[in-house]
This record gives sequence, structure tokens and C-alpha cells, in this order.
Amino acid sequence: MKNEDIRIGLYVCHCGFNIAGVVDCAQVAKDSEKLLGVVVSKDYKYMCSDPGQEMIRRDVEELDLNRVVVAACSPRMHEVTFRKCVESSGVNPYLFEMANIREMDSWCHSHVPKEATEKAKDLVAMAVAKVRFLKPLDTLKVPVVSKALIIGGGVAGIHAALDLGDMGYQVYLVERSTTIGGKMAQLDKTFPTLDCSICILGPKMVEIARHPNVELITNVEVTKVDGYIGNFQITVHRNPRYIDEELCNGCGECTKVCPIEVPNTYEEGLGPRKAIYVQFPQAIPMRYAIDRDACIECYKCVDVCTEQGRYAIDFGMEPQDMKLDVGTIVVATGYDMYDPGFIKQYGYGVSSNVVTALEIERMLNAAGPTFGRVIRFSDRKEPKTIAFVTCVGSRDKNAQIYCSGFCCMYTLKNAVLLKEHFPEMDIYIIFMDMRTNFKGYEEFFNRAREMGIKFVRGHPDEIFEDPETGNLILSLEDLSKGQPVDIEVEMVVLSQAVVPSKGTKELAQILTVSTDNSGFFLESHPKLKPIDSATDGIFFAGSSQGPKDIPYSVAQGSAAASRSARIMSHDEWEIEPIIAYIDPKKCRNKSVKCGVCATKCPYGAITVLENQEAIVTQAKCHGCGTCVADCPSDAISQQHFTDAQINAQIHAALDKNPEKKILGFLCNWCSYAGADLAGISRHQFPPNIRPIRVMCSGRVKREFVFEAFLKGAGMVMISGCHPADCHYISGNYNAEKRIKPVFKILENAGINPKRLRLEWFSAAEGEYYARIMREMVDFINELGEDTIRAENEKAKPLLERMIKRGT
Amino acid sequence: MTTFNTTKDLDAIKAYANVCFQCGVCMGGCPVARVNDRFHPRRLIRELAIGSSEDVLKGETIWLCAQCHICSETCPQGIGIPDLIIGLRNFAINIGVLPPESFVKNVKQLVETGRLVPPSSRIEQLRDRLGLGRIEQAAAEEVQHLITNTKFKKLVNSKRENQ
Repeated sequence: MKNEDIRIGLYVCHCGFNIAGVVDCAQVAKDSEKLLGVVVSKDYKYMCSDPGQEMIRRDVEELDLNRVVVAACSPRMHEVTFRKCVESSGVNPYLFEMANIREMDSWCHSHVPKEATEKAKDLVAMAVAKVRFLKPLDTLKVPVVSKALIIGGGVAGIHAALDLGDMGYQVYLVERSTTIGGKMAQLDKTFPTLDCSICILGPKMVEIARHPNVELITNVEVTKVDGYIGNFQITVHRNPRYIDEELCNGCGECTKVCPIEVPNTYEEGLGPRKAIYVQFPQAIPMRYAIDRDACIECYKCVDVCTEQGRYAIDFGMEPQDMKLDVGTIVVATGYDMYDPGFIKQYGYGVSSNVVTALEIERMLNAAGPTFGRVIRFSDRKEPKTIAFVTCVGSRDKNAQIYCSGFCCMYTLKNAVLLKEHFPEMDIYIIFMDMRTNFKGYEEFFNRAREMGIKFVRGHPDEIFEDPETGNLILSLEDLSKGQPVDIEVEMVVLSQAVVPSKGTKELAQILTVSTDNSGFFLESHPKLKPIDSATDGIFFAGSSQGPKDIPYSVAQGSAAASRSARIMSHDEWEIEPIIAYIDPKKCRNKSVKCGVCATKCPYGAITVLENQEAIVTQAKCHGCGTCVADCPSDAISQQHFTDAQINAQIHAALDKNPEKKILGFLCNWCSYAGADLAGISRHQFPPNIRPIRVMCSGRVKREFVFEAFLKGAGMVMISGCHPADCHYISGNYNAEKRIKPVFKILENAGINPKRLRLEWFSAAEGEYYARIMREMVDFINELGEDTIRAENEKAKPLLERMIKRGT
Repeated sequence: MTTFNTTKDLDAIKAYANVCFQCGVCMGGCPVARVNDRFHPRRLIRELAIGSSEDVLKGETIWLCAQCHICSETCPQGIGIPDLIIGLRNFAINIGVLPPESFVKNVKQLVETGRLVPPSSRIEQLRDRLGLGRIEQAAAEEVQHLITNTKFKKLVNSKRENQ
């Protein structure tokens, strides 16, 4: 298309005061009118509103527009909205571009409105420059496998599985342990109604076992995930039970004859179990397993099983890998309890009379290791005084900085249960703040006070044991009195923090999804996509995404089921056509042995046969662009992120005062999201950055860096996900490998190599992004514009040579 | 743990104190507070965060801390209270507020004997009885050397004259 045929409509959104409170939107719209190709330029209060979208549609029709730019919030927020709007007005949805002047401008530069307005103009110019080079694209349609994988059989996973099963979808529920039930199965009662936990969970577990659409696979771990929305290929590694699940009927004769006893993890180690065991009587599947680490292979179990006429025990069972094809994945891997032994002053592990909340929970349970009796371990006596301590490992910068959410409530619950069982007992709850903010919770707190439980606001500095009596002395300040006090009790219960379950980090890498600063899975949007991961088709439920109590976990399990069904209810799903394509004329593999692209592709999507042009398998390509950046003959291009489009953005960004500017390449999944978060959290930093979004840091060619310095840039930043966290498996490693030598090249050219930065930060690290921005601007100021200009001038010939060599 | 070695930024100290959520752990473990109800680390931080820093600087409290660092080990918000107090002391001296006599007496003892608390005759007797031997003399000259060379004496004297 010729330049004069390009007709762009430009719309600058006020977003109420969110943008207009800082950026002079009318001025941005007016100044951008002059940009090449812009036919109409307007500002409006809310572009995403119905009248806003209608305005675009009307203008397209009346003014014959064929490209649209909206300067508003992050494309991660409303790109889809406006693409749909543009499409409905008859323009190809990929002839649309967004300028992010909210998260990346007004929200993070609110103290410098003038500079923010200038930045907004640059961001608009960059978007307009890119939109001129955009090409119409057709969305790809992929078939959807209408089966779901649920990882984790706790209360959240159980509900997700049952809901999807009831809707008629085939569900694989995979569980690491030998039984489903999760943490809830360990609880005695549940707050605030004091229902028996296993009594309400048990029937749901049975339903899982009976459901015709749910296939339960226990004792497995997910080891590999390939594919994409609608078409995931899962590999799970199944550890042997050494019991044939088909043949075992759960009679339990074997466990009676087994001579080996080991601590039972289900009882928090307070009671024994045999080497051949079920974790608890309500376990699903009700099938035994052999703990081979404990087993001495006396084969008494085999004898008794044979006597029963069953031949269920098989010591020759091998671990096996299973392959599952699914359309969607729900991750419900739950949480672990924090080990309070890490914080020495609480005395856990030092004094046996200091126990954890889950330990007393098991003691309170009538079927538990003490049959409902609460005893302290030093002398096996029933304590007459007990103190509960909250926030153990939570809200503590030395442990977990976050509030674990439901500890206040389970502390109240355990205290109330104790008081009910033993009305004479003196019970203290030592708390910093009491957080009871859901239905019926505050009422439960009232009930605890009415029962005579003593509440002391404060937090112990230390808990130490009197060696003679075994009693514990808590030294703390009673905040209400303002005085230091010592409280002596016979037993202490620590309300531990909640931490991500073991293996969360590894699973995140397998799924190529992110975790937050606390190690829990990171949702796609904190408000509007709390269930979705950043990867389409993968959802989170329950405490895997952050600490949650039972009702909240159940609600999320059902929500994840509904989000999955939204996809699986279609035969086909549209995916973005942002994939690599090869220009066969340019591919040099025809004449010389090359194949670089195939070695760089993390998905094996490129086939290179001798003396033939390389071929991209569309369905396998995830669109990272790493092959594009590494192709020695520039034969590969990435749709929607072509060299021409990115170069146009570089030129527009550095049009005016380039020495002061930082040109940033931000990967879509971690860095761009992290930069968005800096804005959402209103972290303030100087507005020197001009961000260019790429799908992966692996897309960034060396020539982009040279081009930027040739255009006079002050600094260049290339940023991606943390090593091992890349959304495209290895894109960031490839970026690092490619960019590392550039520092030396720049130095040889006379450019201070510190003016190029390679940064890894996650979608959760908004604060870190703000900090590196401040650092970089400090460095620009330190060098001074004159030095930068002189360095760039000196480097010009070499940079030009490098670019020429590359193309 | 952030340290305040300079007297430059009182605002930074105040902002730092503002992070405190008043759990009282510092107070629970404080050995001074147990014997002296005029020392209250939690209230000191509270006063800094929302009260008048002038009152804090002119008050006696900051001079009562024994710098044992128990609170900085246990503070869940990682506030280095002893370092913060050193910062405030430097600040106070700089604006001409001198420490109370009790503190000055301690310093004098340090300069003269090399010890903040020299062993009393009662302790000496007790040690004799238990056969523990005499406590060695501390190197008072070295302390004096340090105090002269760091211009501590000069600083305190000049502030004293100003008063």
C-alpha cells in the first residue's frame, strides 16, 4: 500500500482523570494530527465506552479509514476490545495499534505532567509509525480437545473436576499424593460453622471416584507440557504404588500384618502408619500403597493378600510415563504450611510443648492420633493453659511478607473447639491484628470472646521453656496496657504462615507461567482475570494462586471450571496469527547448509532439509520471534512484529532529544507486564523510557540496538523474563547469548557499554522496574548529553557498518 | 537492615519509622524496658512516625537504649531500631542537644576506665570469694586516643559551650 493510501484514525483516551489528570490529551491529539497518514485525531473521555467505540466505527465509515490507533491503557487490558471494534467496522483487526499512555505514562509520571504529555506524544508517534507498516492478518483457527486436566486434588481441584464433569467434559484429575482430599482432609472442623471437615469433603471425594467423566490418576507428577490452548500434550510421571488399583479392594488385611511403623504425614507425624498404608480411612481411591523407603520386603502383606484370594501386590511395578491430550489445564496445587522452626525465637523444635496449628488440629480430631485429647509432649499431661500465637512467619519481612489470610480464623476455630471440649482451660490468643472479613467471621470472633477466651494484642519476642516445669514463658508487650508482660502457659500453638506448595516453581516452568514475588502462581490480571494465567487455556484455582480459605477455594474451583468450559464449548478456538514465516527466496539453506532457525526454535516448529528452504509448521509455532532475530539472511519474519514495524517504532521514539531517552524492548509476558504493574502500583520514575513491546526478548536483533544508538539514543534496555522463566522456554537465553557480544562491540565503537542494559524482571516486579528506570536515568544524567552525543557521533561509522553487515 | 550513620536525613528516619505496624515485639524483648519504664521503643517509633521529632530529639528516651540489638533481630518489619537510635543521637548532638547526665556519666567512665560499667568493689569481693581472679584493667588510653582522634571531645565541648 502506498503512503498516500494509508488513512489512520487516531483516538486519545482521557480515561476520566486517569490519563487526562496528568497528560494534556487534547494537546496530544492536536499535535499528532500532523503525523504521516493521520486523517483524523480526536480525544475523548472514555474510548472503551460504547459511544467511544461508536465514534471509531462512524469515522471508519465516513472518512474511509483503514488503520486505527488508540492511545489509552495497556494493550494487555483493552487491545482485544478495540480489535473487535475495528473488525466490526470492516477493518482488519490487525490494522490496529495501541499506545499505552496510562500504565506506562500518566500513572507512573504523575508528578511531571509536562514531560508525561511529551512522552504521550512520542508513544502515539511510535504507534502511528508502526500501524503504517501493519499488514492485515487472518486469525488462526485451531481445533479444541474437549478434555481438561486438573492438577491437584484438594478442595479446589475436586470442585473444578466435578463441575466440568457435570457439564459433560472429560476430566483428568491428577494428584501427587496417594489420595485426593488435600489439606482440607486433615482438618478437624471448619470455620465459622464448625462443620466436620471430612464429613463435608468425603462425599465430594466419593463423587470424584464415581463420576463417569472424571478419571482420577493418583501418585503422579506433571513432568512435561507441550502445545497451546485447545491442544495441550501432557506427560505425567506415575510413581508405582506397588498395589494394583484394579485388584485391591481396600480390605486392609495387609496393613494389619505389616511389621513396620513410620510417622504418618497425614497426622503431621504425631501418629504411626504402616509401610503398607492408606493415608486415612476416607481416602480416595481407597487403595493401599507401599512406602518402599520403609518396607523391609518381608512379603507378609503378599501372603495375606494371596490368602484373601486377591493378588493385588506387585513389587515389580515400575514407574511409568503417561501421555494425556487436553484442551485446558486447571492448576490447583494448593499450599504448604510454613515450618516455624526457621524462626528460632518461637521455640518450635526446641521445646516439645510448642506445637503447630495443624498438629493441634489433628489432636482435636476424634479419629486423630490422640483420639481428641490434647496433650503436651514433655509429660503427656493435658494442659490447663494454652496460648495461640498468630502471624508466625506471616507479615514478617524475615519470613513471608504477606498476610496468610485465614490463620486468624483457624486460630479462633481451634481456640473455640478447645474451649468447648475443655471449658476450664485458660486460653490466650496473642494477635497483632484480628482479620475476620468475610461472612459470619466477625460473629465467630464475638463468640470466641463471649466464651471467655482471652485476647492479648501483641506479639512475643521470644518463647522459652522453664526447664523444671516444661511450661512456656512468652515475653511480649501487652499493647493495650503498653507494658512488657510475661505470660506463662503449659502449651503454645503457633499459627503458621501459608507458603506455596513444594514444586510450585518447577511446575511454573513446565507450564511456562509466572509466579509472583511470594512464589504463588501469578494471575493474568489482579482484578479482571484472577483465574487466568498469562498463557491462554491455563487457569489457577485455590491456594496455588495465594492463600485462600475453603469457601474461596471452592468458588475458584468452580470459576476455573467455567473459564475452561468457555473454551471447550467451542469446536475451534481463534489464536493470534503472530507467527514466523519464511521468505523462500531469501532462505540460504537452498545453497549452503544453514538451519540456524531450526536450532533456535524451542518448539521444533521449523523443518530444515538439505538443499531446501526451511519450513515453519504453523500449528507448532508459538510466535516468539527468536528464529527471526537469528536468521543470518533475514529470510524469516514475524507477523505483526516485522523488522520494518519495529524500526519504524525506533525511529519515531528517537525523533526528538534522543540523548535523553531510553529505548526499551520489553517482552510481552514478564517485562511489559512488570512495567504495567509499576504504573498500576503508581511507582513514580522519570519518563525517559520509550517502550517497544515484543513477544519475547529473543526477538530483539542486534541491529535494533545499533539502529537505536545510530539514531542517538541515550540508553537501550532489553528485558525479558527471569532465566528459566521464559514464556517460550529458551527465548531469553537466546537473547542473552546474542546481546552479550554487543557490549564489547559498543565499547570498541566508543560507546560506554553501560549504556546498554540486559535486564530480567517478572510480571510481579513493578517496583524493581521503577528502580532500574531511576538508575538508568541517573546514569544518563551522570554522563551528560554532550558525552552521549559525542560517543554516538564517534560510533556512527562502525554502527552503520554493523547494520549493513546484518542486512 | 538500613543504617543511619549520617545526620543528614531526618525525614528518611521518619519515613522508615512509618513502616512500623506497632506489634510491640521490640518492647517485649527489650531488657532496658523491663527495668526502666521511661524507655519504650515502640512508643519512640510511634512518636517519630506521627508525633514531633523535636520532642524525640530533645527527650531522654534515645539515650536510654543499651544497643543490645535484640529488637532489630526480631522486628517483623526489619526496622533496625538501634541504628535508627544512633542516627537520632548524632542528630541530637548536631543540633546542640546534649545527652542527659546519666549517659554522660557512662561516657566519662568509659574514658577514664575503659569500661562503661567498671566492676564495683562488691563484684571484686564476690569474684575473690569464688576464686575467679581479678578482672584485667581495660585499655583506657586507647579509648582516650580514639575519642581525641575522632574529635568526639572537641565536638561535645563546643556544643556544651554553645548551650
